[in-house]
Amino acid sequence: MSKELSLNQKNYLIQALKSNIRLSTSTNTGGSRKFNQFRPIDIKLSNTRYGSVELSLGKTKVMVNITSRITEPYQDRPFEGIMTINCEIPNHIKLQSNDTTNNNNDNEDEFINLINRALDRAIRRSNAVDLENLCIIAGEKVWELIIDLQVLNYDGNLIDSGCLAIITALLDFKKPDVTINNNNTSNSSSTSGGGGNIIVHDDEMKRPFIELSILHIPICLTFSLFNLGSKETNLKTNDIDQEIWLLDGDAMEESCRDGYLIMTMNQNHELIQLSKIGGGGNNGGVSIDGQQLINLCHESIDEINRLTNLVKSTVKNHQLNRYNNENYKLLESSADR
Amino acid sequence: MSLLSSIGLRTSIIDNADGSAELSIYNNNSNEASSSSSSSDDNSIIKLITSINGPIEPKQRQELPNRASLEINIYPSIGLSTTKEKLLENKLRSILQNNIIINYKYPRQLIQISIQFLISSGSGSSSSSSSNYGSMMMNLLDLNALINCCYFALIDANIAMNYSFASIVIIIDHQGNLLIPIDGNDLHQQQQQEEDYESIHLCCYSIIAKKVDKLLLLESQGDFNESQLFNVLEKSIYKVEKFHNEIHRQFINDKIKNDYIWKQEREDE
Repeated sequence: MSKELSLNQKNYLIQALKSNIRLSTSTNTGGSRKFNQFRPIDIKLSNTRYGSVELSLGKTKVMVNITSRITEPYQDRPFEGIMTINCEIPNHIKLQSNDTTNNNNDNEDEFINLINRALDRAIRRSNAVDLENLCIIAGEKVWELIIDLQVLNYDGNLIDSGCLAIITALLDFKKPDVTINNNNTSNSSSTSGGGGNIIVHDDEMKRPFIELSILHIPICLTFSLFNLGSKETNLKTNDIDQEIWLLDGDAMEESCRDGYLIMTMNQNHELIQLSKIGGGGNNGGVSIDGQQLINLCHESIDEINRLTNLVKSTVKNHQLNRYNNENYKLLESSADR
Repeated sequence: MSLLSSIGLRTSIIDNADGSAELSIYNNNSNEASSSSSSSDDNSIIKLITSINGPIEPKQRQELPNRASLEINIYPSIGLSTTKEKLLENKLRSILQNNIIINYKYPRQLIQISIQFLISSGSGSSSSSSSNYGSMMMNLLDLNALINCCYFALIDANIAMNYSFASIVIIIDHQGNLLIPIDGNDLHQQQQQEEDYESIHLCCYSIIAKKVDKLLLLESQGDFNESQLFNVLEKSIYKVEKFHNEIHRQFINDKIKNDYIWKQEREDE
């Protein structure tokens, strides 16, 4: 299922980019967006459930739910919990494609795999969450985090919005407290060997929930690459003016782009993921200059800092609102000094 | 009116879909208590989005020579799709395929329905309920929500329908009393006392000219006898008519007024 663009639409977009104009408008100011400008981001956190986030990036809208349950760990990693990211794109999302020779099903499968792999590398494989902290009894009981990313509306840039939503949900999520009851002293004929029973305190009024241990905050940035000249010019010459990169492309820009670059960094100026597929050959993609790639990494630090501070301030303000509304101050044991 | 405060409805919320609807079912007590301090969306017990694309070109394996084919996908709020979603899909298909949608108007075409559960019933509690009664009740409440949400999405998508339809859930407790969760009863309390009922019934009716016409789906789980079943059917007819006349028709009336504002300006000239 894809919505095809006409040649006039594509030429109109390319001509606008040559004139330093983006067709999509920024809703805040009303004017045209800059090449390195994000669309407005709106993050909503649930007041009743932890780890539930609704994020809007322009018209793109995603929702993340995080749930936890107690399960057995993997045999080769008895001290680590389990974290799973499920990203399912419903079939009413019409992915735009200007490549009419490809099969539509192959386009969709590649797109879904791309998103799943990028998010998995950015969050799980980069150890954003301390999985050893999820261990309750080594080898027997660990917490399993299930992260469900649902795409509600698609207008481009699912990777950046998905990563932002998952990170916000992980910072907001709290799991119930667990007490380990040693079985050896109370019952000598225990059937579970040396293990103990656990008590899950799932009433938050009696015992507060515990936050996750977040080691760092990875932020994904997706650049759409355009080659304004011909393919031969791009390969033979070193004309940087013919290469244009856009941050946060919308659906139309994503369908017309020649290549893309996924860059994941955190606030500590560390590069977590760099993914660029294709370049110059028959596989598609566009070759970019090595120096331009390094410049992109340096210029993106400001955007990484802005997005990280946005996520942190959103979660902090939400926790403060929840603290005031639920009157948690009455539960504090210390006097008002 | 307690019915209106229990349900939130929005249509035309997804740009890329031909028709879409968002249905939220709230907890009544929590909504009244915290409506001034928090967003109303956060008090939902069940919240789902239905989007419909159609009539569109089908794949070759989906093509039917003289009828429209129907593709239903249900995405749960937790985890991936399992056999539970396949069961819900089959029940929804039994309502829509041959009864509601006028098939012969769209030969060799496809109608695509996607249902995304944002909040399922029972997903609010962090501990998973392993009780058999709890999962029975959750399934029927989810099925009830998606049937009602599909109705508004079909209207938003302008799909030809034979009649309107609405569904309702009725619970029989141990004392034999009928409880209707949508009718102002505290649904949150029902979740906490999930062992406190004997059976649960879902009734889906077709409606013509504000009157209940046919029974499209009757799903009952638990222990009940014949007189209890007839009592459930009798009560549900009245409740479904009230539900349809007060909520469905009023919402569609307001929606059409908003969608066709240009006609009013033209008539003024």
